Amino acid sequence: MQHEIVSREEWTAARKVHLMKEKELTRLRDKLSAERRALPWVKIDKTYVFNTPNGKRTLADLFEGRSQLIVQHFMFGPDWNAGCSGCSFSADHIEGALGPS
Amino acid sequence: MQSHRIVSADEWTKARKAFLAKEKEFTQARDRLSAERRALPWVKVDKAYVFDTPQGKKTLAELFDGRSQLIVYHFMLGPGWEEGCQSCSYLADHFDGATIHLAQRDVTFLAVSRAPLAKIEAFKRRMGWKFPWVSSSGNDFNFDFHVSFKEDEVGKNVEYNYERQEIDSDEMPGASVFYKDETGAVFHTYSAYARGLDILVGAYNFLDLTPKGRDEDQLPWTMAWVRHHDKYEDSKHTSTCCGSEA
Repeated sequence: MQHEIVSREEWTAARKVHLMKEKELTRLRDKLSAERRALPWVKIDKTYVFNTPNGKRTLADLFEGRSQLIVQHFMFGPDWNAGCSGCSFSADHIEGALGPS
Repeated sequence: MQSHRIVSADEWTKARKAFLAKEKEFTQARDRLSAERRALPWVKVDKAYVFDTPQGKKTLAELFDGRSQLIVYHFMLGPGWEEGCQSCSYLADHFDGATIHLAQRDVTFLAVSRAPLAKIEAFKRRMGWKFPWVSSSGNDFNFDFHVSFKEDEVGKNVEYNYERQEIDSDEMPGASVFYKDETGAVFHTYSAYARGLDILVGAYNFLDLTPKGRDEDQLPWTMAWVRHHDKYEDSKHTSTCCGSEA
């Protein structure tokens, strides 16, 4: 791997230019998240019932006392032997956000 | 929450598609930025840093553990601290899921703190983390990468996040990236601080998808709600899943 090697001063100058672009993207991300929150909603009228380790639960039950619910649609079909490796890659990052069990 | 506009599925899909175009633009902008990041020049690291690790003393080059890329998270845990910083711990809760996959892509990940190794190990046990974590106690590493500060610098203008600013702690958060070539030479390729670390926080990525979002505008500082994961009031029963009302 051949790469340009420079002095600390030169590096910092280049890094600062890149930092401006990083900050732009961070602000763009914040703006996009605000626009996402401004999207309209659709009322769910269908009664979905799920099988859980604690028995049958409706979608509303799955909120578990909170007002917001995020669902990962995990690729694991009725005749699959294992969950999808891409979904599992993604799922490996979920535990940290949930906290220890 | 204030009342929200409720529409038909058709109307929603139309609005969602318009928004999707913007999301795609953002994803492409992020990919471009990552490419530009990789094109940044590097600086050769000539200083011989030696770290205390559970396997004994190791140089920076040895910390690569046979891989050519190293990501270091500068974890705020100073020599005189009783426990690691709450916000760093919030970030660190996301590390273990990633490390096994990073190794497949020629990346070693570890945390570095200035506290003595015994203090690091005890805190790591308390938090139940597995990622490697070494001590820079006795070397300048965290000072040189602008995340640790001398006592008399606290409350003064120092260089942090590539600008002079007043800091209120002897430790600040950051992440640094290094490359090791075939000859064993080590290069510093990248460091990020402050909100530059935002993308490492999986829980924020999730919150950005929700109706309430991060919901931090009314707080004294953004992560004011964050606690060590064993200190949340409901931490005993957060992930029992599905209908446990206890």
